[in-house]
Amino acid sequence: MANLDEAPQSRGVVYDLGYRNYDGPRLGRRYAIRSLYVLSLRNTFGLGRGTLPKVLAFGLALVALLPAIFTVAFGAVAGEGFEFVEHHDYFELIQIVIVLFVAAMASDLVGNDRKNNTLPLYFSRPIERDDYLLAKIAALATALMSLTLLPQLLVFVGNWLGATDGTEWLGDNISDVWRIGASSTLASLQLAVIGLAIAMFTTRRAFALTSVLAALWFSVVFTAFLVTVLGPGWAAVAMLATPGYAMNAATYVIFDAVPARADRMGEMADQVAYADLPGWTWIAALVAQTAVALFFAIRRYRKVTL
Amino acid sequence: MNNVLISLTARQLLGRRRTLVIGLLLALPILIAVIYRFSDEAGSGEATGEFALGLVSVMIFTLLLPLVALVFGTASLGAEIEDGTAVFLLTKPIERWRIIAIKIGVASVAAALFVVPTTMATTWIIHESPTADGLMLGLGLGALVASVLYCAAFVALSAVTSRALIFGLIYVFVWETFATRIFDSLRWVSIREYAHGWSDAVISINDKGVFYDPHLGVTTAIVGTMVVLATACAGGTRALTRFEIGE
Repeated sequence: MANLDEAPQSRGVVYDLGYRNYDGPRLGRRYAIRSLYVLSLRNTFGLGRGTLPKVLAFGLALVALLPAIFTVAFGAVAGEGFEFVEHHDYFELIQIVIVLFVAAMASDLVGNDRKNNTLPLYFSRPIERDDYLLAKIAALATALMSLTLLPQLLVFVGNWLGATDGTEWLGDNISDVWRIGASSTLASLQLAVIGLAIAMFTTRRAFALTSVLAALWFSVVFTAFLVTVLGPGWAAVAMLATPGYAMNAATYVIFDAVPARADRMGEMADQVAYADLPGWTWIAALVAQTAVALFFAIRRYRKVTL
Repeated sequence: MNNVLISLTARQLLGRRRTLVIGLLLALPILIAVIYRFSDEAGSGEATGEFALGLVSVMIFTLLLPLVALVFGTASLGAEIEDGTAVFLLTKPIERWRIIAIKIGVASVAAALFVVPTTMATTWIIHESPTADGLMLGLGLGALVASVLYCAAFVALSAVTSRALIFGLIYVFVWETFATRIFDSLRWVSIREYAHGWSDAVISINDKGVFYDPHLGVTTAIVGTMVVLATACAGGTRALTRFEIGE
Protein backbone atom coordinates (compact mmCIF):
# COMPACT_ATOMS: atom_id res chain seq x y z
CA MET A 1 0.00 0.00 0.00
CA ALA A 2 2.83 2.37 0.82
CA ASN A 3 4.16 2.81 -2.69
CA LEU A 4 0.69 3.80 -3.86
CA ASP A 5 1.31 7.19 -2.28
CA GLU A 6 4.11 8.03 -4.63
CA ALA A 7 2.65 6.21 -7.58
CA PRO A 8 1.27 9.12 -9.61
CA GLN A 9 4.41 11.19 -9.28
CA SER A 10 7.06 8.53 -9.71
CA ARG A 11 5.65 6.76 -12.75
CA GLY A 12 4.80 8.18 -16.07
CA VAL A 13 1.12 8.79 -16.54
CA VAL A 14 -0.94 9.03 -19.67
CA TYR A 15 -3.73 10.99 -18.11
CA ASP A 16 -3.27 12.92 -14.90
CA LEU A 17 -6.77 12.84 -13.45
CA GLY A 18 -5.67 14.78 -10.42
CA TYR A 19 -6.50 12.15 -7.82
CA ARG A 20 -5.19 13.09 -4.40
CA ASN A 21 -4.45 10.90 -1.47
CA TYR A 22 -6.04 11.65 1.86
CA ASP A 23 -3.40 12.80 4.29
CA GLY A 24 -5.59 14.29 7.00
CA PRO A 25 -5.99 12.71 10.43
CA ARG A 26 -7.38 9.16 10.57
CA LEU A 27 -10.15 9.32 13.17
CA GLY A 28 -10.44 5.60 13.64
CA ARG A 29 -12.94 3.13 15.00
CA ARG A 30 -14.08 5.01 18.10
CA TYR A 31 -14.91 8.07 16.05
CA ALA A 32 -16.83 6.01 13.49
CA ILE A 33 -18.89 4.37 16.22
CA ARG A 34 -19.63 7.72 17.78
CA SER A 35 -20.69 9.17 14.44
CA LEU A 36 -23.01 6.26 13.78
CA TYR A 37 -24.46 6.63 17.26
CA VAL A 38 -25.14 10.34 16.82
CA LEU A 39 -26.60 9.80 13.35
CA SER A 40 -28.90 7.02 14.57
CA LEU A 41 -30.02 9.07 17.55
CA ARG A 42 -30.81 12.01 15.29
CA ASN A 43 -32.66 9.68 12.93
CA THR A 44 -34.90 8.31 15.68
CA PHE A 45 -36.17 11.80 16.38
CA GLY A 46 -36.43 12.60 12.69
CA LEU A 47 -33.70 15.26 12.79
CA GLY A 48 -32.27 15.58 9.31
CA ARG A 49 -35.28 13.77 7.90
CA GLY A 50 -38.75 14.90 6.85
CA THR A 51 -41.64 16.24 8.90
CA LEU A 52 -43.42 12.92 9.36
CA PRO A 53 -40.71 11.14 11.39
CA LYS A 54 -40.35 14.22 13.59
CA VAL A 55 -44.09 14.36 14.28
CA LEU A 56 -44.11 10.64 15.02
CA ALA A 57 -41.18 10.64 17.45
CA PHE A 58 -41.94 13.86 19.29
CA GLY A 59 -45.66 13.06 19.32
CA LEU A 60 -45.10 9.69 21.01
CA ALA A 61 -42.61 11.21 23.44
CA LEU A 62 -45.16 13.89 24.31
CA VAL A 63 -47.90 11.33 24.94
CA ALA A 64 -45.50 9.47 27.24
CA LEU A 65 -44.90 12.73 29.10
CA LEU A 66 -48.60 13.64 29.46
CA PRO A 67 -49.26 11.77 32.73
CA ALA A 68 -46.18 13.42 34.24
CA ILE A 69 -47.32 16.83 33.05
CA PHE A 70 -50.74 16.22 34.64
CA THR A 71 -49.09 15.22 37.87
CA VAL A 72 -46.98 18.35 37.96
CA ALA A 73 -49.83 20.66 36.92
CA PHE A 74 -52.45 19.29 39.29
CA GLY A 75 -49.88 18.76 42.01
CA ALA A 76 -49.07 22.46 41.87
CA VAL A 77 -52.76 23.34 42.25
CA ALA A 78 -53.88 20.64 44.65
CA GLY A 79 -50.79 20.70 46.81
CA GLU A 80 -49.16 17.83 48.65
CA GLY A 81 -50.69 14.41 48.64
CA PHE A 82 -52.02 14.57 45.11
CA GLU A 83 -50.77 11.65 43.05
CA PHE A 84 -52.06 11.05 39.54
CA VAL A 85 -49.50 8.35 38.89
CA GLU A 86 -46.75 6.94 41.07
CA HIS A 87 -43.20 6.16 40.05
CA HIS A 88 -43.53 2.39 40.10
CA ASP A 89 -46.76 2.49 38.05
CA TYR A 90 -45.53 4.87 35.39
CA PHE A 91 -44.08 2.36 32.93
CA GLU A 92 -47.16 0.19 33.10
CA LEU A 93 -49.40 3.15 32.33
CA ILE A 94 -47.45 4.29 29.27
CA GLN A 95 -46.19 0.87 28.22
CA ILE A 96 -48.08 0.81 24.92
CA VAL A 97 -46.63 4.19 23.98
CA ILE A 98 -43.08 3.02 24.73
CA VAL A 99 -43.62 -0.19 22.79
CA LEU A 100 -44.99 1.67 19.78
CA PHE A 101 -41.94 3.95 19.88
CA VAL A 102 -39.60 0.96 20.01
CA ALA A 103 -41.46 -0.81 17.19
CA ALA A 104 -41.44 2.23 14.91
CA MET A 105 -37.84 3.21 15.60
CA ALA A 106 -36.28 -0.25 15.65
CA SER A 107 -37.75 -1.14 12.27
CA ASP A 108 -36.45 2.15 10.87
CA LEU A 109 -33.00 2.02 12.47
CA VAL A 110 -31.91 -1.33 11.08
CA GLY A 111 -34.47 -1.75 8.31
CA ASN A 112 -33.61 1.38 6.34
CA ASP A 113 -29.92 0.46 6.14
CA ARG A 114 -30.74 -2.91 4.66
CA LYS A 115 -33.47 -1.62 2.38
CA ASN A 116 -31.33 1.20 0.97
CA ASN A 117 -28.22 -0.99 0.80
CA THR A 118 -26.19 1.37 2.95
CA LEU A 119 -24.70 -1.42 5.07
CA PRO A 120 -21.68 -1.93 2.75
CA LEU A 121 -20.91 1.76 3.17
CA TYR A 122 -20.86 1.45 6.95
CA PHE A 123 -18.73 -1.66 6.94
CA SER A 124 -16.20 -0.09 4.58
CA ARG A 125 -15.43 2.24 7.49
CA PRO A 126 -13.27 1.10 10.38
CA ILE A 127 -16.17 -0.40 12.36
CA GLU A 128 -16.77 -4.02 13.18
CA ARG A 129 -20.09 -5.81 12.88
CA ASP A 130 -20.57 -5.67 16.65
CA ASP A 131 -19.80 -1.96 16.74
CA TYR A 132 -22.59 -1.22 14.31
CA LEU A 133 -25.02 -3.10 16.51
CA LEU A 134 -23.72 -1.45 19.65
CA ALA A 135 -24.13 2.03 18.19
CA LYS A 136 -27.71 1.25 17.11
CA ILE A 137 -28.63 -0.19 20.52
CA ALA A 138 -27.06 2.74 22.35
CA ALA A 139 -28.91 5.19 20.11
CA LEU A 140 -32.31 3.55 20.62
CA ALA A 141 -31.75 3.15 24.37
CA THR A 142 -30.77 6.82 24.66
CA ALA A 143 -33.84 7.86 22.69
CA LEU A 144 -35.99 5.68 24.94
CA MET A 145 -34.64 7.50 27.99
CA SER A 146 -36.72 10.48 26.93
CA LEU A 147 -39.81 8.30 27.33
CA THR A 148 -38.74 6.57 30.53
CA LEU A 149 -36.30 8.71 32.51
CA LEU A 150 -37.61 12.14 31.54
CA PRO A 151 -41.25 11.71 32.68
CA GLN A 152 -40.12 9.99 35.88
CA LEU A 153 -37.81 12.90 36.70
CA LEU A 154 -40.62 15.32 35.90
CA VAL A 155 -42.92 13.55 38.36
CA PHE A 156 -40.15 13.69 40.95
CA VAL A 157 -39.55 17.40 40.47
CA GLY A 158 -43.30 18.04 40.39
CA ASN A 159 -43.84 16.27 43.69
CA TRP A 160 -40.91 18.13 45.18
CA LEU A 161 -42.26 21.51 44.11
CA GLY A 162 -45.71 20.58 45.41
CA ALA A 163 -44.39 19.63 48.84
CA THR A 164 -45.02 22.06 51.68
CA ASP A 165 -41.53 21.66 53.07
CA GLY A 166 -39.22 21.15 50.12
CA THR A 167 -36.04 20.36 52.03
CA GLU A 168 -37.70 17.83 54.29
CA TRP A 169 -39.44 16.13 51.33
CA LEU A 170 -36.18 15.94 49.45
CA GLY A 171 -34.47 14.37 52.45
CA ASP A 172 -37.19 11.72 52.65
CA ASN A 173 -37.35 10.94 48.96
CA ILE A 174 -33.81 11.42 47.70
CA SER A 175 -33.40 7.65 47.38
CA ASP A 176 -36.01 7.73 44.61
CA VAL A 177 -33.46 9.32 42.31
CA TRP A 178 -31.30 6.22 41.98
CA ARG A 179 -34.40 4.05 41.74
CA ILE A 180 -35.64 6.17 38.86
CA GLY A 181 -32.25 6.03 37.18
CA ALA A 182 -31.82 2.28 37.62
CA SER A 183 -35.33 1.30 36.56
CA SER A 184 -35.43 3.48 33.47
CA THR A 185 -31.93 2.45 32.35
CA LEU A 186 -32.77 -1.24 32.70
CA ALA A 187 -36.10 -0.84 30.93
CA SER A 188 -34.65 1.23 28.07
CA LEU A 189 -31.81 -1.20 27.46
CA GLN A 190 -34.08 -4.23 27.54
CA LEU A 191 -36.63 -2.75 25.14
CA ALA A 192 -33.97 -1.42 22.77
CA VAL A 193 -32.10 -4.72 22.54
CA ILE A 194 -35.20 -6.89 22.16
CA GLY A 195 -36.82 -4.50 19.68
CA LEU A 196 -33.72 -4.29 17.49
CA ALA A 197 -33.04 -8.03 17.68
CA ILE A 198 -36.52 -8.75 16.32
CA ALA A 199 -36.52 -5.98 13.74
CA MET A 200 -33.24 -7.30 12.31
CA PHE A 201 -34.80 -10.44 10.92
CA THR A 202 -36.91 -8.78 8.27
CA THR A 203 -36.49 -5.96 5.80
CA ARG A 204 -40.16 -5.16 5.33
CA ARG A 205 -41.06 -2.33 7.65
CA ALA A 206 -44.63 -3.51 8.11
CA PHE A 207 -43.51 -6.97 9.12
CA ALA A 208 -40.83 -5.70 11.49
CA LEU A 209 -43.29 -3.32 13.16
CA THR A 210 -45.88 -6.02 13.70
CA SER A 211 -43.36 -8.54 15.03
CA VAL A 212 -41.90 -6.13 17.58
CA LEU A 213 -45.39 -5.16 18.66
CA ALA A 214 -46.38 -8.81 19.01
CA ALA A 215 -43.30 -9.68 21.05
CA LEU A 216 -43.45 -6.71 23.39
CA TRP A 217 -47.16 -5.92 23.70
CA PHE A 218 -49.34 -8.85 22.63
CA SER A 219 -47.26 -11.11 24.84
CA VAL A 220 -48.27 -9.00 27.85
CA VAL A 221 -52.00 -9.33 27.14
CA PHE A 222 -51.62 -13.02 26.35
CA THR A 223 -49.73 -13.68 29.59
CA ALA A 224 -52.23 -11.63 31.59
CA PHE A 225 -54.96 -14.05 30.53
CA LEU A 226 -52.74 -17.10 30.74
CA VAL A 227 -51.94 -16.31 34.39
CA THR A 228 -55.64 -16.24 35.26
CA VAL A 229 -56.00 -19.88 34.28
CA LEU A 230 -52.68 -21.29 35.56
CA GLY A 231 -51.32 -22.31 38.97
CA PRO A 232 -48.62 -20.18 40.65
CA GLY A 233 -45.71 -22.26 39.28
CA TRP A 234 -46.57 -22.09 35.58
CA ALA A 235 -47.87 -18.55 35.97
CA ALA A 236 -44.45 -17.53 37.31
CA VAL A 237 -42.73 -19.14 34.33
CA ALA A 238 -45.04 -17.36 31.88
CA MET A 239 -44.48 -14.00 33.55
CA LEU A 240 -40.70 -14.43 33.77
CA ALA A 241 -40.58 -15.15 30.04
CA THR A 242 -42.64 -12.08 29.08
CA PRO A 243 -40.56 -8.93 28.52
CA GLY A 244 -43.35 -6.58 29.60
CA TYR A 245 -43.85 -8.43 32.88
CA ALA A 246 -40.15 -8.62 33.66
CA MET A 247 -39.76 -4.90 33.01
CA ASN A 248 -42.66 -3.81 35.21
CA ALA A 249 -41.95 -6.35 37.94
CA ALA A 250 -38.31 -5.24 38.10
CA THR A 251 -39.57 -1.68 38.45
CA TYR A 252 -41.86 -2.67 41.33
CA VAL A 253 -38.95 -4.44 42.98
CA ILE A 254 -36.61 -1.47 42.53
CA PHE A 255 -39.20 0.86 44.06
CA ASP A 256 -39.98 -1.76 46.70
CA ALA A 257 -43.62 -1.67 45.69
CA VAL A 258 -44.67 -5.29 45.12
CA PRO A 259 -48.13 -5.41 46.72
CA ALA A 260 -48.84 -7.74 49.61
CA ARG A 261 -52.12 -8.80 48.02
CA ALA A 262 -51.60 -11.61 45.53
CA ASP A 263 -54.38 -11.98 43.00
CA ARG A 264 -54.05 -13.70 39.67
CA MET A 265 -57.26 -12.07 38.41
CA GLY A 266 -56.04 -8.63 39.42
CA GLU A 267 -53.78 -6.03 37.88
CA MET A 268 -50.24 -6.69 36.76
CA ALA A 269 -48.75 -5.88 40.17
CA ASP A 270 -51.12 -8.32 41.88
CA GLN A 271 -50.29 -11.01 39.36
CA VAL A 272 -46.58 -10.44 40.00
CA ALA A 273 -47.24 -10.86 43.72
CA TYR A 274 -49.16 -14.06 42.90
CA ALA A 275 -45.98 -15.57 41.42
CA ASP A 276 -44.41 -15.04 44.87
CA LEU A 277 -40.80 -14.92 43.70
CA PRO A 278 -37.90 -13.17 45.47
CA GLY A 279 -37.35 -9.69 44.06
CA TRP A 280 -33.98 -10.34 42.46
CA THR A 281 -35.48 -12.99 40.14
CA TRP A 282 -37.38 -10.34 38.23
CA ILE A 283 -34.28 -8.23 37.72
CA ALA A 284 -32.38 -11.36 36.74
CA ALA A 285 -35.12 -12.24 34.24
CA LEU A 286 -34.91 -8.77 32.73
CA VAL A 287 -31.13 -9.00 32.39
CA ALA A 288 -31.36 -12.54 31.00
CA GLN A 289 -33.90 -11.52 28.35
CA THR A 290 -31.68 -8.63 27.33
CA ALA A 291 -28.65 -10.93 27.12
CA VAL A 292 -30.44 -13.56 25.04
CA ALA A 293 -31.73 -10.93 22.60
CA LEU A 294 -28.25 -9.39 22.41
CA PHE A 295 -26.74 -12.80 21.66
CA PHE A 296 -29.12 -13.42 18.75
CA ALA A 297 -28.67 -9.90 17.43
CA ILE A 298 -24.87 -10.19 17.43
CA ARG A 299 -25.01 -13.60 15.80
CA ARG A 300 -27.39 -12.29 13.19
CA TYR A 301 -25.17 -9.36 12.24
CA ARG A 302 -21.99 -11.41 12.13
CA LYS A 303 -23.64 -13.55 9.49
CA VAL A 304 -25.61 -10.94 7.56
CA THR A 305 -24.76 -10.73 3.89
CA LEU A 306 -24.23 -7.26 2.56
CA MET B 1 -62.45 -5.39 -14.83
CA ASN B 2 -64.04 -5.48 -11.39
CA ASN B 3 -63.55 -9.22 -11.10
CA VAL B 4 -59.92 -8.95 -12.13
CA LEU B 5 -59.32 -6.29 -9.51
CA ILE B 6 -61.09 -8.31 -6.84
CA SER B 7 -59.21 -11.54 -7.49
CA LEU B 8 -55.92 -9.68 -7.82
CA THR B 9 -56.37 -7.93 -4.48
CA ALA B 10 -57.46 -11.15 -2.81
CA ARG B 11 -54.35 -12.92 -4.06
CA GLN B 12 -52.13 -10.04 -2.86
CA LEU B 13 -53.68 -10.17 0.59
CA LEU B 14 -53.70 -13.88 1.20
CA GLY B 15 -50.01 -14.57 0.68
CA ARG B 16 -48.76 -17.66 2.41
CA ARG B 17 -46.53 -16.07 5.05
CA ARG B 18 -49.03 -13.40 6.05
CA THR B 19 -51.88 -15.90 6.33
CA LEU B 20 -49.73 -18.20 8.44
CA VAL B 21 -48.67 -15.49 10.90
CA ILE B 22 -52.18 -14.13 11.29
CA GLY B 23 -53.53 -17.64 11.75
CA LEU B 24 -50.98 -18.28 14.50
CA LEU B 25 -51.83 -15.03 16.28
CA LEU B 26 -55.53 -15.80 16.12
CA ALA B 27 -54.90 -19.24 17.58
CA LEU B 28 -53.80 -17.61 20.87
CA PRO B 29 -57.29 -16.70 22.20
CA ILE B 30 -58.55 -20.15 21.22
CA LEU B 31 -55.60 -21.67 23.07
CA ILE B 32 -56.48 -19.73 26.22
CA ALA B 33 -60.12 -20.76 25.80
CA VAL B 34 -59.12 -24.42 25.66
CA ILE B 35 -56.81 -24.10 28.70
CA TYR B 36 -59.65 -22.37 30.58
CA ARG B 37 -62.10 -25.10 29.69
CA PHE B 38 -59.83 -27.80 31.08
CA SER B 39 -58.51 -25.90 34.11
CA ASP B 40 -60.07 -26.13 37.54
CA GLU B 41 -60.84 -22.45 37.19
CA ALA B 42 -63.66 -23.17 34.73
CA GLY B 43 -66.84 -21.98 36.36
CA SER B 44 -70.36 -22.54 35.16
CA GLY B 45 -73.28 -20.53 33.79
CA GLU B 46 -72.89 -16.78 34.07
CA ALA B 47 -69.23 -16.97 35.13
CA THR B 48 -68.23 -18.58 31.84
CA GLY B 49 -70.09 -15.90 29.93
CA GLU B 50 -68.24 -13.22 31.86
CA PHE B 51 -64.86 -14.78 31.11
CA ALA B 52 -65.76 -15.16 27.43
CA LEU B 53 -66.73 -11.48 27.25
CA GLY B 54 -63.53 -10.44 28.99
CA LEU B 55 -61.25 -12.54 26.81
CA VAL B 56 -62.96 -11.63 23.55
CA SER B 57 -63.13 -7.92 24.24
CA VAL B 58 -59.57 -7.56 25.56
CA MET B 59 -57.72 -9.96 23.35
CA ILE B 60 -59.67 -9.89 20.10
CA PHE B 61 -61.51 -6.57 20.01
CA THR B 62 -58.73 -4.37 21.36
CA LEU B 63 -55.73 -6.27 20.03
CA LEU B 64 -55.96 -8.90 17.32
CA LEU B 65 -58.95 -7.61 15.37
CA PRO B 66 -57.54 -4.09 14.80
CA LEU B 67 -54.18 -5.62 13.94
CA VAL B 68 -55.58 -8.04 11.37
CA ALA B 69 -57.68 -5.25 9.85
CA LEU B 70 -54.65 -2.99 9.87
CA VAL B 71 -52.49 -5.55 8.09
CA PHE B 72 -55.12 -6.26 5.43
CA GLY B 73 -56.31 -2.66 5.15
CA THR B 74 -52.87 -1.17 4.60
CA ALA B 75 -51.66 -4.06 2.44
CA SER B 76 -54.62 -3.88 0.09
CA LEU B 77 -53.82 -0.40 -1.22
CA GLY B 78 -50.70 0.72 0.63
CA ALA B 79 -48.54 -2.16 -0.56
CA GLU B 80 -49.43 -1.35 -4.18
CA ILE B 81 -48.45 2.27 -3.69
CA GLU B 82 -45.24 1.28 -1.91
CA ASP B 83 -44.25 -1.24 -4.58
CA GLY B 84 -45.13 1.13 -7.39
CA THR B 85 -47.72 -1.17 -8.95
CA ALA B 86 -50.43 1.36 -8.10
CA VAL B 87 -49.38 3.18 -11.26
CA PHE B 88 -50.65 0.36 -13.46
CA LEU B 89 -53.92 0.43 -11.60
CA LEU B 90 -54.41 4.17 -11.70
CA THR B 91 -53.64 4.53 -15.40
CA LYS B 92 -56.45 2.11 -16.28
CA PRO B 93 -59.86 3.62 -17.02
CA ILE B 94 -61.44 2.62 -13.73
CA GLU B 95 -63.14 5.19 -11.55
CA ARG B 96 -61.16 5.94 -8.42
CA TRP B 97 -64.15 5.43 -6.15
CA ARG B 98 -64.52 1.96 -7.59
CA ILE B 99 -60.90 1.14 -6.77
CA ILE B 100 -61.36 2.32 -3.19
CA ALA B 101 -64.63 0.44 -2.82
CA ILE B 102 -63.12 -2.81 -4.11
CA LYS B 103 -60.00 -2.46 -1.98
CA ILE B 104 -62.13 -1.83 1.12
CA GLY B 105 -64.50 -4.66 0.25
CA VAL B 106 -61.83 -7.30 -0.32
CA ALA B 107 -59.84 -6.28 2.78
CA SER B 108 -63.01 -6.37 4.92
CA VAL B 109 -64.00 -9.82 3.70
CA ALA B 110 -60.48 -11.16 4.26
CA ALA B 111 -60.30 -9.71 7.79
CA ALA B 112 -63.81 -10.88 8.66
CA LEU B 113 -63.05 -14.39 7.40
CA PHE B 114 -60.25 -14.62 9.94
CA VAL B 115 -61.72 -12.73 12.86
CA VAL B 116 -65.41 -13.64 13.01
CA PRO B 117 -64.89 -17.43 13.21
CA THR B 118 -62.15 -16.94 15.84
CA THR B 119 -64.44 -14.74 17.93
CA MET B 120 -67.34 -17.15 17.73
CA ALA B 121 -65.16 -20.21 18.35
CA THR B 122 -63.54 -18.66 21.43
CA THR B 123 -66.96 -17.78 22.86
CA TRP B 124 -68.33 -21.19 22.02
CA ILE B 125 -65.46 -23.04 23.72
CA ILE B 126 -65.58 -20.99 26.93
CA HIS B 127 -69.28 -20.35 27.40
CA GLU B 128 -71.55 -23.08 28.67
CA SER B 129 -74.63 -22.01 26.76
CA PRO B 130 -73.29 -19.71 24.03
CA THR B 131 -76.49 -19.32 22.06
CA ALA B 132 -78.86 -18.82 24.99
CA ASP B 133 -78.02 -15.19 25.75
CA GLY B 134 -76.95 -14.17 22.28
CA LEU B 135 -73.30 -13.93 23.29
CA MET B 136 -71.86 -15.81 20.33
CA LEU B 137 -74.06 -14.06 17.82
CA GLY B 138 -73.57 -10.62 19.36
CA LEU B 139 -69.79 -10.84 19.52
CA GLY B 140 -69.69 -12.26 16.00
CA LEU B 141 -71.75 -9.34 14.74
CA GLY B 142 -69.49 -6.91 16.57
CA ALA B 143 -66.41 -8.54 15.03
CA LEU B 144 -67.95 -8.29 11.56
CA VAL B 145 -68.80 -4.60 11.96
CA ALA B 146 -65.39 -3.84 13.41
CA SER B 147 -63.60 -5.65 10.55
CA VAL B 148 -65.44 -3.63 7.92
CA LEU B 149 -65.01 -0.29 9.70
CA TYR B 150 -61.32 -0.73 10.54
CA CYS B 151 -60.54 -1.92 7.01
CA ALA B 152 -62.40 1.01 5.47
CA ALA B 153 -60.57 3.48 7.69
CA PHE B 154 -57.14 1.96 7.07
CA VAL B 155 -57.56 1.62 3.29
CA ALA B 156 -58.46 5.32 3.22
CA LEU B 157 -55.53 6.12 5.50
CA SER B 158 -53.08 4.30 3.24
CA ALA B 159 -54.32 6.37 0.30
CA VAL B 160 -53.48 9.51 2.29
CA THR B 161 -50.09 8.65 3.81
CA SER B 162 -47.32 6.20 3.06
CA ARG B 163 -46.90 5.47 6.77
CA ALA B 164 -50.46 4.26 7.30
CA LEU B 165 -49.40 1.31 9.43
CA ILE B 166 -47.78 3.27 12.23
CA PHE B 167 -50.49 5.93 12.26
CA GLY B 168 -53.14 3.21 12.29
CA LEU B 169 -51.35 1.57 15.21
CA ILE B 170 -51.21 4.88 17.03
CA TYR B 171 -54.92 5.41 16.44
CA VAL B 172 -55.81 1.95 17.72
CA PHE B 173 -53.45 1.70 20.68
CA VAL B 174 -52.94 5.29 21.77
CA TRP B 175 -56.35 6.75 20.98
CA GLU B 176 -58.75 3.85 21.42
CA THR B 177 -56.91 2.12 24.25
CA PHE B 178 -54.90 4.76 26.09
CA ALA B 179 -56.73 8.06 25.62
CA THR B 180 -60.26 6.68 26.02
CA ARG B 181 -59.15 5.08 29.27
CA ILE B 182 -58.25 8.48 30.67
CA PHE B 183 -61.07 10.54 29.10
CA ASP B 184 -64.34 8.66 28.90
CA SER B 185 -66.10 10.99 26.49
CA LEU B 186 -63.54 10.29 23.74
CA ARG B 187 -65.37 7.01 23.24
CA TRP B 188 -67.79 8.84 20.98
CA VAL B 189 -65.07 8.75 18.36
CA SER B 190 -63.96 5.14 18.43
CA ILE B 191 -64.58 2.34 15.96
CA ARG B 192 -64.34 -0.21 18.74
CA GLU B 193 -67.19 1.46 20.63
CA TYR B 194 -69.38 1.43 17.53
CA ALA B 195 -68.76 -2.30 17.16
CA HIS B 196 -69.54 -2.82 20.85
CA GLY B 197 -72.76 -0.86 20.35
CA TRP B 198 -73.87 -3.33 17.67
CA SER B 199 -73.00 -6.41 19.70
CA ASP B 200 -74.58 -5.01 22.84
CA ALA B 201 -77.91 -4.82 21.06
CA VAL B 202 -77.89 -8.63 20.68
CA ILE B 203 -76.24 -9.71 23.95
CA SER B 204 -78.64 -10.22 26.85
CA ILE B 205 -76.25 -11.38 29.58
CA ASN B 206 -76.69 -9.85 33.04
CA ASP B 207 -73.21 -9.83 34.55
CA LYS B 208 -70.88 -8.42 31.96
CA GLY B 209 -67.70 -8.23 34.01
CA VAL B 210 -65.21 -5.40 34.18
CA PHE B 211 -63.55 -5.58 30.77
CA TYR B 212 -66.61 -5.28 28.60
CA ASP B 213 -68.41 -1.99 29.05
CA PRO B 214 -70.04 -0.56 25.97
CA HIS B 215 -70.80 3.13 26.33
CA LEU B 216 -72.83 3.82 23.23
CA GLY B 217 -76.41 2.88 22.42
CA VAL B 218 -77.23 1.04 19.23
CA THR B 219 -78.52 4.18 17.46
CA THR B 220 -75.28 6.04 18.08
CA ALA B 221 -73.37 2.97 16.92
CA ILE B 222 -75.30 2.83 13.64
CA VAL B 223 -74.83 6.54 13.00
CA GLY B 224 -71.13 6.24 13.84
CA THR B 225 -70.78 3.27 11.49
CA MET B 226 -72.36 5.22 8.63
CA VAL B 227 -70.15 8.23 9.30
CA VAL B 228 -66.95 6.15 9.33
CA LEU B 229 -67.90 4.33 6.11
CA ALA B 230 -68.88 7.51 4.28
CA THR B 231 -65.80 9.41 5.45
CA ALA B 232 -63.49 6.55 4.51
CA CYS B 233 -64.96 6.15 1.02
CA ALA B 234 -65.07 9.87 0.32
CA GLY B 235 -61.67 10.61 1.84
CA GLY B 236 -60.00 7.66 0.17
CA THR B 237 -61.46 8.54 -3.22
CA ARG B 238 -60.43 12.15 -2.81
CA ALA B 239 -56.86 11.19 -1.88
CA LEU B 240 -56.64 8.75 -4.76
CA THR B 241 -58.04 11.29 -7.23
CA ARG B 242 -55.29 13.69 -6.24
CA PHE B 243 -52.69 10.95 -6.24
CA GLU B 244 -49.62 12.07 -8.12
CA ILE B 245 -47.89 9.52 -10.25
CA GLY B 246 -44.31 10.63 -10.13
CA GLU B 247 -40.66 9.65 -10.13
